[in-house]
Amino acid sequence: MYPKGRWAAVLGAVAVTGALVSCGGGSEEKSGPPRIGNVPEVAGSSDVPNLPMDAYVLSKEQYLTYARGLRAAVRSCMAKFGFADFRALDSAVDQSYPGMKADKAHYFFIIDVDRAARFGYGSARDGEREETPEEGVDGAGGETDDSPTAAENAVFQGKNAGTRIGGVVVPKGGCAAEGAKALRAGGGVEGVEIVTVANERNDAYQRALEDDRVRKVFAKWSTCMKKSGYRYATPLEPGKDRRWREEIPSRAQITVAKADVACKQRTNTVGVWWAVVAAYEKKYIDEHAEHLADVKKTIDATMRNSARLVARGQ
Amino acid sequence: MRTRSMLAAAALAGGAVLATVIPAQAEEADAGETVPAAAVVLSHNYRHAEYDGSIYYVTGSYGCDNSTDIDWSVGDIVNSWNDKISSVKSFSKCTSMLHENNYFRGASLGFFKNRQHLGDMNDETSSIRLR
Repeated sequence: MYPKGRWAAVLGAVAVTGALVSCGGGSEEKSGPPRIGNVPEVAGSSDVPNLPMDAYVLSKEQYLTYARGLRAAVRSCMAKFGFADFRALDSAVDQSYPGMKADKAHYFFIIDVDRAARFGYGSARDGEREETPEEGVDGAGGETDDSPTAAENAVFQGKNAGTRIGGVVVPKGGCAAEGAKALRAGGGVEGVEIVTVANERNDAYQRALEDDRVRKVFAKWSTCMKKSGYRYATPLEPGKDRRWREEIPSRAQITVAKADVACKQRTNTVGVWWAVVAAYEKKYIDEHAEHLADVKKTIDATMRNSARLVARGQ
Repeated sequence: MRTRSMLAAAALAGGAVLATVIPAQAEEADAGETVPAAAVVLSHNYRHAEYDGSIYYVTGSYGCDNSTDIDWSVGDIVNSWNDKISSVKSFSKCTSMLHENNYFRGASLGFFKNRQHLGDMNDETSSIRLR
């Protein structure tokens, strides 16, 4: 069932995008590629340092704290309007959620010998099921449908903002907005979305891939692989090789994957790659310092408030 | 039957530095009204197979439910991620269906919770539905 008419174009947010890009001041094209700092020696994922943008995105624990706090705050608001059993946010508290910090074992592709030896270019099988499993989700289970009713949704989203229900006026933005407000109280910044900020790092990642320094180290890796008898121009290619889409990795796949990791170690491919990504992320942070300071304040406020809201059992 | 909220909600990545999305209801009710600043993650869509590389996050105001109705959708993936998704993890009780063309047309794969590689749908996704 679809809302009458219209699909929300994702591009509605382009206006926000444009504002974020332009508020940094100065032209990126004029400044050239950013300088890189120290280049770490990376022999495996445990050697990969945190990236600069990791400070502005939620870890698994932070996300779950946020989700629990949001649920508590929204439920408290919804209860004022007679919807004491509002469950739509139960599914948000998902224990399987890994967080948004860069996954060091995956962000720079395969870099661990153990992974290569066990899975080739694969990774641990992790539940390729056709339907929704409920394990790992707080409060999940049972046959109840916890999606909001039309009446609940009107209050949750604020579609009937200004209406008085049981003597209480539905606020602008509904209980969703009230929930966000409760989470950011005492230091957070209105309008800052601490979940979607994670997308802001992808531009730096893409720019790094196009940077000459990364291209050069990829070329060194490719030369190393060629000496082992494998022809791949960049470390991104083996994962696309249809020969390695095996349910159980063959010895051939494992051999290539191990050679891949060895060549990355020999040329310090991931160390250089990391340093360039970090440089672009730092550049982005410098150009959007005020915005990201607001993000940090909002994350901090959210963590404080979430713990309090959940403890109160609201 | 309950009315499902059908919102296209996605956070963009790649060339677009994007934070929020305006859902269909907000557009209908009051053009320009912003989404309340609280979102939950519905899926991670990875640039490469085996959950490698960068991620296109899809978010919504709440997760998915137990029914088979569509709960969320992205009708037209942003250009920088169009035909770029190679593996997917779904969260908040959602499962994902990927479509070859925008507005859910063409070939499709799903519904699934996680997929380490997408077979013939690799680097083909232009729209997504979740339930």
